[in-house]
Amino acid sequence: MDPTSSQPGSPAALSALSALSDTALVQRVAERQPDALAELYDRFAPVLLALARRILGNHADAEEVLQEVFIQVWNRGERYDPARSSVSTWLVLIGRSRAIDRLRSRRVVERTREAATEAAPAAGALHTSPEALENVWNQERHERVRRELAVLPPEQREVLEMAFYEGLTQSEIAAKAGLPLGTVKTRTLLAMKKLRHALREEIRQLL
Amino acid sequence: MSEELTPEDRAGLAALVEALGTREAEPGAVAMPAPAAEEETLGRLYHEALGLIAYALPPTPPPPAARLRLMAALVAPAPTSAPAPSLARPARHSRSSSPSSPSSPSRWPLSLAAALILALLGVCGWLYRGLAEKGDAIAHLAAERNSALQHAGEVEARLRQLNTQVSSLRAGVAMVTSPAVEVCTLRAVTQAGAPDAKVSDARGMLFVAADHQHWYMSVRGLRPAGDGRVYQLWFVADQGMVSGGTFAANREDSSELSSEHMPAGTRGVKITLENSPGAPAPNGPDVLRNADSLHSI
Repeated sequence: MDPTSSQPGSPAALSALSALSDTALVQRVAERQPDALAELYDRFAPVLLALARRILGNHADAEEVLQEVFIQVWNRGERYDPARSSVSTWLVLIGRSRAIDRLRSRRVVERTREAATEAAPAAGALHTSPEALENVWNQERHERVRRELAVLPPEQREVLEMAFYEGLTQSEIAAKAGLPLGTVKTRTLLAMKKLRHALREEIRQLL
Repeated sequence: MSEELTPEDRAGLAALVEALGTREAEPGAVAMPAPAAEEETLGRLYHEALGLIAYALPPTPPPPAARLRLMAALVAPAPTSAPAPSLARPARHSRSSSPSSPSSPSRWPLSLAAALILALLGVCGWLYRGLAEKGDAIAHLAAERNSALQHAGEVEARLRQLNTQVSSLRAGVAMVTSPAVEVCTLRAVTQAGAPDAKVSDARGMLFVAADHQHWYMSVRGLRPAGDGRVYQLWFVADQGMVSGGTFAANREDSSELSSEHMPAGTRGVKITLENSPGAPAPNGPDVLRNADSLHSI
């Protein structure tokens, strides 16, 4: 059944939406269907909020970034190109970009005020609600990616995380880590290769 | 390192630069030629691998209020050039995000809906009151119509009765004004030389048409018979006393009888006062009798 033929917000419509692929949901978001955006939010908000918290170290700012991401999707959903990336990667990279931008602007303010940065919450403070645990698919993906990242050599994982979570260029990473630029590039490439091979099944599911 | 780059390396670096937005103009930076198809495919794989890194973090479900704020933002007016999510700020921030703030954009649809509901209720009440008034007016008019119809029925019945009387009177007038009519006077009968108190001043006339069949009788001055008694007309004919009918009487009006049949050989006529109506033969006293002869009938 086409979800658009049901009453918006009705259980039938929501149930039909939950059966749609991520790409089909984005297409409906582009057609201005709020229920489709809500379904997309339910699928990806936990991952995006975790990512924003990891980058910003602040839950309130992370919630704002999460809101910005989905409003951007609502307003520019038609720009999504399935040939370029999966919906998951598209959303993750939008969220990461928004969070990095906020992080950079905050760093400027902090440097100006010479204020102490807000301590990032300990890893244990990141709550995982029962609702998230019910999302078995996301939980399994989380476990596999976490495991594959964990088996990377620490020096490779470090440069990759600095690039991904902190938005540093390879030169900035080299300066921060006190390493030659070539070493940073080599470590980054090796980490990416291993990750691509280790996560090929996950990637296949996304494509 | 650039001289050691394989196509996969170039694809990986391109994916990093594009996905992470970390392109930089450094002296040793690798020049990125246009990717071949294979590199493009590899670049896509690296792109997706980067996107998966976020899944290494434990998922953090947002609070339900965040979802509500987002859905409320969707129905708010679309932002122009200003950054959209001013309504996205969590509770610790400005008061503009407070649900109780009247300036919050998400409150306007609720206020408008409430105003519309109140307006609709008012209109419904006004319409209902008007409908009730119209219903009362319709019921009142229906009662008046029923009363008028009933009155018209009564008038119609009275008219039919009057028409019958007029027809009867016309027939009587036509008969008594006929040149061939025979007239017989009826006079009170005295008992032992003194007229009875009920009939002392009574008198009447009998008109007989030329065919000797139609007749008309009119009596005046008889007092009411009373006590269930009636006056009865009798014809003295060949076959004996034949009843011509019964009638009541009062002092003010005349009493009338008529018929299209008169017994054959009628020689006389009289009126008696009977104790019960419809007597086959006269039992009561005579009160009026023909003063003229009816030999010719």
